[in-house]
Amino acid sequence: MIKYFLFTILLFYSCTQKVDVVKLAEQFSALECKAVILKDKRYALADRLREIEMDTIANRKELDSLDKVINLTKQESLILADSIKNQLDNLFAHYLKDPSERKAFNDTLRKIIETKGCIHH
Amino acid sequence: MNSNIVKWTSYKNLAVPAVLSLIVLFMFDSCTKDISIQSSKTTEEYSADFILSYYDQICKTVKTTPGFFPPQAARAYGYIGIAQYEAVVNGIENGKSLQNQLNGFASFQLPQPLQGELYNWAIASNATTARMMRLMFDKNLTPANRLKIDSLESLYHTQLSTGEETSIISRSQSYGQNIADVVYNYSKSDGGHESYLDPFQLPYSVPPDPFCWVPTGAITTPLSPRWGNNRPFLTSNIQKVQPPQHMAFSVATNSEFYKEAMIVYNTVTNNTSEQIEIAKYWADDPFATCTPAGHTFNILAQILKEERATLAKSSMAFAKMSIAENDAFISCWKGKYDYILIRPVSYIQKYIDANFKTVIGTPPFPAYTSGHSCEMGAGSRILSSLFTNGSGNYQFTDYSQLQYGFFARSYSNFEEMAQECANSRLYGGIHYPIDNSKGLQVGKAIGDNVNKEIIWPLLVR
Repeated sequence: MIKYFLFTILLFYSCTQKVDVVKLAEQFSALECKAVILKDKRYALADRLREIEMDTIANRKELDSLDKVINLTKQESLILADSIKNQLDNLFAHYLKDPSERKAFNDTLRKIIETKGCIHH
Repeated sequence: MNSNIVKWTSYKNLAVPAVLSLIVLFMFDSCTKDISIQSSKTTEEYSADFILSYYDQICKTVKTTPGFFPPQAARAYGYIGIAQYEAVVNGIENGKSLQNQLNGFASFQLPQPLQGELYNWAIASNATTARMMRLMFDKNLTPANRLKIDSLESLYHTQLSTGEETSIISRSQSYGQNIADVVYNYSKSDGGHESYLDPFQLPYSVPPDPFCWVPTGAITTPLSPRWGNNRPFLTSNIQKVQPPQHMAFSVATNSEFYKEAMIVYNTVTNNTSEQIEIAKYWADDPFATCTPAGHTFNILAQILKEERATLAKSSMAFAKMSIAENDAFISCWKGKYDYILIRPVSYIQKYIDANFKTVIGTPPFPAYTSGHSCEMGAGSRILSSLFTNGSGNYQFTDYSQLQYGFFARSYSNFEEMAQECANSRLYGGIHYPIDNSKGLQVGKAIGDNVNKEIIWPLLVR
């Protein structure tokens, strides 16, 4: 009887325990910080490409090296996107089930990323 | 009295465990809620988890397959979507095949379920979707993506077959594969077959008129100039919803054209940091995303998951979106090459400020109308029909861009989201306001056509 009661309490606790959004956001922030930095890098590379691609002869050497960096950045971005997607799906499936928790997670994540200095204006 | 106390005590001894058992059962159910798979169920009784996984994989495949620019991607999503709907439509109450409802589809003979035989619609859908993915990306499909699709098919086939009779499994799988083959044959005659091998549709010459598109980067020929000749799923999406003639080209400073260009110039010059973020958020950025159509499908998949939609609702939702997105790109591309309008960056650099720079890169095709506005206008109408009473009012947050380094954005109405997407093209400096407003108008009309002209099952969960 006591075992039964303790099990019930434990199950009840695990189902109703308040999600620690801050902790989850902190854990997630390392990946997202990388994604923000990579995104900025992609846009910077695209900007540079736009600047030099109109004159392909004069800028051949830089275009070639830029192509290599772009390909590497693309690969890195795709792999990271997969990791983030998988982790996010996992978080949403098991911890952040309520829309308000997800929203709070996103807002907290933003604050953490800004504090960490991942965003460069 | 004493006897009553004894009775109550003994009841009490039984009642506590009984109540606790009920609580445990209830909580166990709420913690592990799932829809089990059995034969002869309607499509509403199957979970959509597996189909949502495929849509994740379509996005990844688009990102990593050469030749899949926005029109080509929308087409791939399009045919995969209608095939997976056909695979399950006979298991949806009041479901009606698209065969006699889509342009040119009637002349292809879709397999019919055998009378009196049982089918597992989830197994059929699994077989159709995997096969369609392999076919639509076929010649450029990387070995890694092929392996991933094969693995998903095998995994879900095993899961969905658990406890199912062998004859039902093989019948359902074969039915699904045949559906895919017929839909793929239908796709071959639309004008976009294997277009990923030649997305620029060379040769093509742009007329030399001053109002015409000129290269905005190293790519000297515009993308898919004959895409507007493709067969749409609904003829009315081309015939009835083309944009009106844009304002007359002029370089006079008091002309409507110049004023439109000045709006772009002033907006870009004075963009706030949030507007720059919005421009990049919706740009579905260089090198790493699954195109604007993929973004819209990601939003749809997220909402279906949040709503715990069944296989029936998810299949219908993806089919609606597929038809709308495919046709939005055909219709939009027709307009682009009917007008071949010069991009703002080219006009502004020539007539206003030679040093003008856009926030994001201008894609290599004409301006009028905006592809993003068309596709998201269409998408917003489909989302409204699926999740609202038509008002479009729906609180949601789009988490699909977190993977690319953007924070999620929240909306309270699908139209509001579509408007933000359209505005993003102005903030980015790559479209005139009229490209966006008319693009949205065209897209919404296409979405409305898909909702109204096709007979969709009602009250699908």
